[in-house]
Amino acid sequence: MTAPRAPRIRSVLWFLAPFAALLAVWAAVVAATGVPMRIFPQVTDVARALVGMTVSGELTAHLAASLRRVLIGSVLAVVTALPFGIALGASPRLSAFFAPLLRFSVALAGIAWIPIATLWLGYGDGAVIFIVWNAMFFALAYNTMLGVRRIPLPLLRAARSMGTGRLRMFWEVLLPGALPSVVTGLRVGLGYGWRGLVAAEIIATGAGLGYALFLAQKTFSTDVIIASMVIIGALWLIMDRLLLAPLERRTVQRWGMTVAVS
Amino acid sequence: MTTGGTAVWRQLARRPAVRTLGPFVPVVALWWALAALEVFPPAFFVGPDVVLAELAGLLERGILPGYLSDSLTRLWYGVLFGLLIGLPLGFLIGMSPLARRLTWPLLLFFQAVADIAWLPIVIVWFGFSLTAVTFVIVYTIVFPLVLSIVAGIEQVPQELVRAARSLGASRLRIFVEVILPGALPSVASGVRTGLGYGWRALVAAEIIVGTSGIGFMMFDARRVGDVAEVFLGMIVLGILWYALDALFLAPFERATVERWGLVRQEAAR
Amino acid sequence: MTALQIDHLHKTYVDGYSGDEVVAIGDVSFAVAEGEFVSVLGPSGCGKTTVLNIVAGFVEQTAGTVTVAGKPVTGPGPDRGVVFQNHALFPWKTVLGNVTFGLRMRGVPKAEREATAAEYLRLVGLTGFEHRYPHELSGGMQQRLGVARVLANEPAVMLMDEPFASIDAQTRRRLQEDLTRIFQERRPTVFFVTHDVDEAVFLSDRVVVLTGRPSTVQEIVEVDLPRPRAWRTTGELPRFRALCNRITDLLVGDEADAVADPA
Repeated sequence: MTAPRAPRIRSVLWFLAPFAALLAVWAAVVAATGVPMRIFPQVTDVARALVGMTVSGELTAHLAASLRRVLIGSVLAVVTALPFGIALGASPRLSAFFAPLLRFSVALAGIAWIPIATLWLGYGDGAVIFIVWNAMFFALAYNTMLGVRRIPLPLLRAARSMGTGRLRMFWEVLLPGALPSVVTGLRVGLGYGWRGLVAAEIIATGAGLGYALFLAQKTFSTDVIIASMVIIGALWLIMDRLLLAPLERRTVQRWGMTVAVS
Repeated sequence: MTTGGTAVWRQLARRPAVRTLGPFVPVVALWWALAALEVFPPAFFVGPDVVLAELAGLLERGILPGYLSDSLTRLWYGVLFGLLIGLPLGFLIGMSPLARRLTWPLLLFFQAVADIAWLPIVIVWFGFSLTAVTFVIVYTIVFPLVLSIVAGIEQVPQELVRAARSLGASRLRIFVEVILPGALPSVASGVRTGLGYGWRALVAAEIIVGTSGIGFMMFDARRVGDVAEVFLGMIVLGILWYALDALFLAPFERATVERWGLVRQEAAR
Repeated sequence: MTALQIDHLHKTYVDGYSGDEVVAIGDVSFAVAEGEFVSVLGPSGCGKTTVLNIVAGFVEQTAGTVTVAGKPVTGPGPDRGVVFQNHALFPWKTVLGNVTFGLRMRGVPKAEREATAAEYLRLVGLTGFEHRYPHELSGGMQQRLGVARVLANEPAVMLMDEPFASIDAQTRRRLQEDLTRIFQERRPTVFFVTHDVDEAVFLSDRVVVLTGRPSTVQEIVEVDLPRPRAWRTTGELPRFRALCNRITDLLVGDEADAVADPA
């Protein structure tokens, strides 16, 4: 029976069609107005730039640098923020007390730390990873704490009355129970972290997609700029739609818990 | 502690100002201690007393208020234009199923191109100018806002629309009386998210475009190694956004929801 | 005077997933006179809610005609007020705002609106709650508000879509008595969809029993119980039980037929 599969292909096509339309309009407008490449490149220019960057290995190098930093930063953030957030959330008094401080830190997280990060860690990888970690850590910790606080009291009581030890409480009750907020925190945190990455790379390093943007701007290579922007956009879309959204679906939605609107 | 003492303490703890500032006391104390003990070299880490002195100096010379007003003015213009563009756009797209289908993937993609990634091309177009910074902030606000509005319109229960129709409401009235209020929590949420990104984009833009503003102040201070000024900048930024969010945005979001008894999650942005 | 006329109503739709054509309504015809309370009952999936949605104008029929007060139905309108199962009250409007909504849409001036609203709030027993919000009311009160909102508009027909299905049993009994009292006082024309046999018999003048899919009208049962009605009195009458049993037999019999002859 082809019915379930056909809609899938159709929906992918529907997703891509607007982009095709956009490219067509772009090409037509540039051709019609004859705007110089210095101001706005033609579709073909950007395509050529993309190919060029791939062939020369530049793209791979930049991608690798950026992705590596995001990976390290986010793994570090998850590993530090989750236990911290849960531990904090587990105590009503502590979380009530420290909530404003955490909120303040979220307000500050990420980009505002760039100057001090470059001061402490110099220019380079270290600073960028720090920024990514920083941006994600606070958002994730705060949301995790909120998530634990939101676990319905009957659930906690049920677990306690079954004699659940502390470690088990953490893994089997608090973590899953806080999951919707944790996923929100991941999404928000990664959003900030990603933006922090781009900003930090523009300001603070010699490799990575942000740096590619920065360099291209200096030479007015608009085709490279737009090519890099497209890649940045595509990367985030992939991360969000193919990683985070399915994660949310497979845990939060599958377990019938409330879903945060994004 | 005497019963009188605990009672006073509990009274104090109930006041929101005390609750808000409470956790900062141990942090500031720790900060002061770390600086006094020179756990980190003074070139990298200074104490609250030095930062306060810096603050006094900058205030006296009128530099801080100048930078602050620059930053806030840019944010204000960005927000204004962002709302002027995003609100109508969001509702126009949200009300037309066709428009929604056609533009949704594009909206997602443009939202995904980190606002800050637009700075280089915007600098090519507008130079290192105020326009460039404002453009980025507007962009940053528009997309989350539009996406939130479209999603918000979609989640207005069909039955409410049907109820309105069977009570004789015209299309325009349904929009005004059902869709607008129904989507309002999502609008509030979208504004809050958009501003969160916009705020951060502002700081990054100021650092990169570098003419004035708190972001610029921090970066310039870093350049000359003035740690106290960098710390000061961070604290000012943190306070500003915290105040904006806690005093305006979050209550606005909560007010629409609570007053109408709708169920929502409060997330931190 | 016929308030609602349904002739050979037929509705099919295409199942989005399997691609098959599903017959929601086979061939349904009946009429509701002005001031009459008619219930529609049937096994699950017989399309009774679809019939209501078509009469309300939310859904279009595949074939057949629906006429309300002499005019064919082309879309939703205030002449057919709907009371929904989950009340569909406007959460951002007060009780008063909800009740006067339809009147506002029709341009009724403020003083008159408020007078009418006061009257209908009294009728449903919500006087004093004008400035509360729906979420502050209990489930039963919300449904009563839903009824007031519709009646304030003085529709030709009041359509009720299993309005008490999600209410707890005790409150449901009270609401049924409230409804029959309101009916007694105002005599609106009511088209009431339910799956609860006792409820249908208690409230109605006639009960339309539908068959399973594809649905047709199996029988229209006359409920010749005296009015006014109350559970304590009417519910104890042997005639009441007899009518309920008759209808239950019709439903079960139809099911048994369906089981014996799976089509």
